[in-house]
Amino acid sequence: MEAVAISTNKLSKIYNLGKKNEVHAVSDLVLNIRKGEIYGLLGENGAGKTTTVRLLTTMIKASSGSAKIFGYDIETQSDIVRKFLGCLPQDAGLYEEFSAIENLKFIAKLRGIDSAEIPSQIESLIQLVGLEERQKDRVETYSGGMKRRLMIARAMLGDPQILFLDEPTAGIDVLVSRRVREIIKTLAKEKNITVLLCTHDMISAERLSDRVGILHKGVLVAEDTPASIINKHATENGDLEDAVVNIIGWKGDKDEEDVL
Amino acid sequence: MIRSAWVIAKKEIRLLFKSTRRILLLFTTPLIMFIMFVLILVISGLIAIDAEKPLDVTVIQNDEGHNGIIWGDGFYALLKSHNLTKDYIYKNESVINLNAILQEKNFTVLLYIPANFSATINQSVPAQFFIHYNNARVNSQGMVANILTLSQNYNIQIIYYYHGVVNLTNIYVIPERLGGDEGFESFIASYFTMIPLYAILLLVVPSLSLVLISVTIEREQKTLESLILQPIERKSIIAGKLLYGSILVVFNTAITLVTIVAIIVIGMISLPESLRTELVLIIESVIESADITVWLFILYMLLGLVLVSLLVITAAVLFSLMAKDEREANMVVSALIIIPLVSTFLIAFLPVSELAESFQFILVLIPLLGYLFAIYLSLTSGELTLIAWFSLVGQLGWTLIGIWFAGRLIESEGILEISYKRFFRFRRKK
Ligand SMILES: Nc1ncnc2c1ncn2[C@@H]1O[C@H](COP(=O)(O)OP(=O)(O)OP(=O)(O)O)[C@@H](O)[C@H]1O
Ligand SMILES: [Mg+2]
Repeated sequence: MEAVAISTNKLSKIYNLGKKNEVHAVSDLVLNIRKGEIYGLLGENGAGKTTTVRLLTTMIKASSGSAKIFGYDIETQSDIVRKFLGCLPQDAGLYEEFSAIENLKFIAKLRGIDSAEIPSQIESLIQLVGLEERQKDRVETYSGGMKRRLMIARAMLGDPQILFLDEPTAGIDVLVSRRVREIIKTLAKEKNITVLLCTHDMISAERLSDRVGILHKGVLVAEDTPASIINKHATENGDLEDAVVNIIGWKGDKDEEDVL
Repeated sequence: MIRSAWVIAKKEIRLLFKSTRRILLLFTTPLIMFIMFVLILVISGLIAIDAEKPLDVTVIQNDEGHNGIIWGDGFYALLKSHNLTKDYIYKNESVINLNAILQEKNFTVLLYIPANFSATINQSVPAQFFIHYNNARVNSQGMVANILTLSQNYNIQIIYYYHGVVNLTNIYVIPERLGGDEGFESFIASYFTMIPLYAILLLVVPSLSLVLISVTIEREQKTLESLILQPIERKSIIAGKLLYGSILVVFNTAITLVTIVAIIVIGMISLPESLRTELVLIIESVIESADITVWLFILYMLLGLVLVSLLVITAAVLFSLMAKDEREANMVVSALIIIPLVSTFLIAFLPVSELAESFQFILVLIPLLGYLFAIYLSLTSGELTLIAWFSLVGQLGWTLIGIWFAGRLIESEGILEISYKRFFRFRRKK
C-alpha cells in the first residue's frame, strides 16, 4: 500500500504583470508523490519550482486546478494542510536580533508544540544542523550558510509529515551539504517523511531523489527515477546534469556546451 | 487565534528589548515630559528675575462693594502678589470713560469690574466682570489665561469664605483688535482642544512607530513568509500586532502617568510651604465643586483617547502592511503626525461651531480629526451633545474598517511583496 502525500490536478499559476503581460509560472502541473518519497524538482531559473512550492504550501492561490496534501484540499482546507508541512522557502529570513534558540522557540510556540517538549526538540534540531556553539548568539552575527542551516532546523520543527525544501544547500559548504543530505535521507527512510526538494545541486538531486521531475517554463517535461532519466536523456557516461541540460534544451552554441 | 496572537505579541515585546533604538522610542514621552519640566523650572526661575518689571494690566473698578468688602480689592491684591499688574487702579470710572480707555488701547490687558459686583456675588447670583485683551500684543492671550486661573482660584476662595452656596463668576474675555470680537468660549475651546491632541501625540506616536517597525521588519527580514507558513490563521498575525500596539499604548500611558505624578511631587516639594497648602486647598475644592458634567466630560475624553489610540494602532498596522519597508512606512507616520498639527490651525480658523448641524455630523466622522472637532464643539456649546458621542462611534467605525481591511490584505497573496506602488495594482485585480 502506498499512501499519496501530494497530488496535484492540472495545477496552474498565472502571474499578471499588467498590460496584458502574463507569466505562466506553472502550467497544468500533475504530480503524485508517495508518502516517504524524496522528490527532486529541477529546472532552469524561472522554471516555476518556487511557485510550485508556494502553491502547495498554501502561500499563494492557484489560478486553476487543484491539489491535495494527504487528501486535504490546499485551497479549502489550508489551515489543516499547514499542520503537516515544514517548509524552507528559497528566499526566507530569520529574526536577526534573536538567537537561534529564540527563533526556533517562537515558531515552535506558533505551531502549538507542547511547551514541555520545545526545549528538547530545539536542542536536538540545533545539534542536527551543527549550531550548538553559536546557538545563543544573535542571528545577525551568523554567516549566510549558518542562517540557512538554522532555517532548515526551523522547517523541521514540530515533526512535519512533508518537508518542502527550496534550495536547502544554496550557500552551504560541502561538509554541511553532505550532512544535510544525510539528514534528509534519514528523515525520509526512518520517519517516512515526504520531501519535495527543489535544487540546482545535481549531486544532491541524483543521490537523494527517489524520483525527479523536470520543469521547463512551468511545464513538467520529464519525470522518472534519476537513473532512468540519465539513461534516457544523457549522452554516454553523462550524469543528471547532462540529462537536464538535454531535456530543457540548451540553446547555446556547441563550444560553450563543451566548456560546461 | 487568540493564542497565536498572544504568541506573536509576546515575540514583539521580546524583540523590542533587543534594540536600544526601540527602547528609547518607547520612553520618548516621559523623557520629553521631563525635559519640558526641567525647562519650565529654568524658565520660571528666569521669570522670577524678570518680575521686577511690572506687567501692564489695568484694573478698572466700578464696584462700591458690599458691607464694606470690595471684591475687586481682594482680587487686585491677588493679581499684585502674582506680579500681574502695574501699580495703579481706576476707581469709579463711568462707562463712558471706560470706552475712551478702550479706544486708546494703551493697555495689554484691562479688567473691568462693573457696579454692584460684590453685592451680586453676595446674593449667590452669578456676577460678571470683563477682561479686555489687546490682541496686537503677543503675550496678552497668555496673560488672560493667567488672570482666568487666578480669578477662578479667587472665586473658590470666596466660596470658602462664605461656606455656603456656590457663587459663579461669569468672566467675559474680549479681545480688542481691528473690530475682532471672538467670544470667550471659542478661545477657551481651542485652548482645551489642544490637550487631547497632545495627549494623542505623546501617548500614541511612539507606539505607532514601534508597531510600524514590527510589521515592516517582518517583510524586510523576510520572516513574514515563515509566519504565514505556520498552521495559524493569517488574521491572527494582524491580531497579534494590534495586541502588541495596545499593550504599548497601555504601557506608555502608565509610565506617562507615573512621570506626571513624579513631576507633580517634585514640583510640590520645590514650592514654598504656604503656596503648597494653598494649592492643595484649591485642587481639593476644584474636585469637590466638579459636577456630573465635568466627570462625564472626563469620561468622554478617556473613552475618546482609548478609541483614538486603537484607531491609530490599526492605521499603523494597515499602512505598514502596505509599505515595502520602514522608509515607506515612516513616510506615512510623518503624514499622520502632520494631520493633527494642521488640524490645530483648522480649529483656530475654521468656525466649526457655526456650521450647519448636518455638516458638523459629517465633520466629526473624519478619523482622528473628527474627535478633536467633537471636543471643540462640546466645549463651545458647554455640553456633550449627540454629535460628540456620534464622533466616538465614528472613530470606532474607522477602526473596525481598518481591521477588516488589514485582514483582507494579509489574506491576499501579494502580501509578501506589497508596496504602495504595487498596492493599487493589487486593488484593481481584486
Ligand atoms: N510574485 C511574482 N509576480 C510575478 N511573477 C512572478 C512572481 N513570482 C514568480 N514570478 C514568475 O514566475 C516564474 C517562475 O518563477 P519561480 O520563482 O517559480 O522560478 P524558480 O523555478 O523557482 O526559479 P529559480 O531557480 O530562479 O529559483 C518566473 O518567470 C517569475 O518571473
Ligand atoms: Mg526558486
